[in-house]
Amino acid sequence: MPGEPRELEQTAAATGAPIGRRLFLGIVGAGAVGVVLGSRLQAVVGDALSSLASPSGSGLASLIPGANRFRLYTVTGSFPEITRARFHLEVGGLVERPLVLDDAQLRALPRHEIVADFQCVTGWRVPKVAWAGARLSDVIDLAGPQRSAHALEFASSDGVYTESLTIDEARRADVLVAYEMLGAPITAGHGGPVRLYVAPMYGYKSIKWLSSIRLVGAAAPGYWERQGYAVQAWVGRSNGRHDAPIDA
Amino acid sequence: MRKRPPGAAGSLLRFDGVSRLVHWATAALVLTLVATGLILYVPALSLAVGDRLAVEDLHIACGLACGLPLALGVSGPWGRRLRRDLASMNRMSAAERSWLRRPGHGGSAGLAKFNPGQKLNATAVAGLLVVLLATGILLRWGTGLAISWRTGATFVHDWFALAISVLIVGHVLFALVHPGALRSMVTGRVSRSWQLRHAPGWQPLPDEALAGEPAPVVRALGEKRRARAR
Repeated sequence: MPGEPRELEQTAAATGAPIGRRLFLGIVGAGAVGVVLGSRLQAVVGDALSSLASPSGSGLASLIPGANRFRLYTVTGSFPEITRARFHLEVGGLVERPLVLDDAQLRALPRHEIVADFQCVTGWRVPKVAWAGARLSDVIDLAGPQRSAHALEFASSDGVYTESLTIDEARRADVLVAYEMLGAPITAGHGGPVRLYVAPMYGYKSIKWLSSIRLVGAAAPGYWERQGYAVQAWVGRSNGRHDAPIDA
Repeated sequence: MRKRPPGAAGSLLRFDGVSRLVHWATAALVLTLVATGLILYVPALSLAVGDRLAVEDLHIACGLACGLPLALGVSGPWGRRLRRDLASMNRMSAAERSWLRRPGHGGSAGLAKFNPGQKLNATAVAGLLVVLLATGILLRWGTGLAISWRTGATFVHDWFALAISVLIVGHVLFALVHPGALRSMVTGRVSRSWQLRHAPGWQPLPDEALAGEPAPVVRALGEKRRARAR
């Protein structure tokens, strides 16, 4: 009876509970809710895991989604590998003495240490990260900013990423040209050997693989700022976010 | 008592060529997604592999393509068996629901071509893939979205990727533990004794009974070849 089994299958298919559909719609619904509420969930999960995850991003616990750990971003696809021997930092633009600093000259400037949370604008926050470096203020004083210089433009060795600060922001004590992070030289993935560290602002201000500083009258917006991010990236007071401010 | 469909004494066709092709094409895409996703997610792997943009492009291409094999597989006359299998994923009888509460303990009495665990796995994987695709599209092209939504999409994408990875590992382990089932996804066939042990409630349709003989199409081809040889 060729028709018989088909009929039976149809009745069976029509009677049982539609568990598959419920599960499918439940998962899709959970995903949608997660997108809307995820930034709050992220904060909860991050806090819960903060004792387990190591901030450098190594260790298995830090791979649990939502753990507060550094995520390595690059806008070019590569992580420039620059040795300390080959490192140099140009300081130019509206300055009295354009100059090029090497690793030793940078380290000859007074060393300052800051321990503070590192907050990314996408939500993750790594608690109590130790940084060491020269104050940006000391670096630009070596070159002597002209009176007409009101802002700084930064460029990265990756050839693409740019950032900026006003000269008042650059003069803050919690803004470093950093060469150490978490008690060790900054690794290539984290922007080493030298990156900017702007403690009170979201991470995108802390340009990695820092290669040049230009003093200018008015700064062009940086890489992310051309895509809508706030130029004045104060943690908790910009980008529509309400994170706790960073006290360094 | 029902009469057995003709040919039930031999082996049975569990997956036809279309179903197998859809399965293995999807598997290749999803495994590439898992591998490239891991490279993008684990800092040590990102640094070791390097070329992040190429890995991203591959991940996104596989993500956009991962529903295509199934879509193509069900969209024509060739997808008749696959469509029937898919339709059977949704509903569960009272017997199947009680099997789910104690999987493996109540025996396989009443279980059809797919057991309730397989049905749940299939629907969960489908739901997770849809969410992963949607959040992936948000992350790749939703640059104008509120940052809190991007954070949410990242969070969901990461957790759902972990969930689907667990299901995939489980799926592969079950396949290795049940070589008869795994073989059916390679050759298409299961033996009659496999069916009696694992899927006694599967009433093979006429187009699933192979009777230990070449299927009608194969036989027809063979006859053609013989005719040409003459």
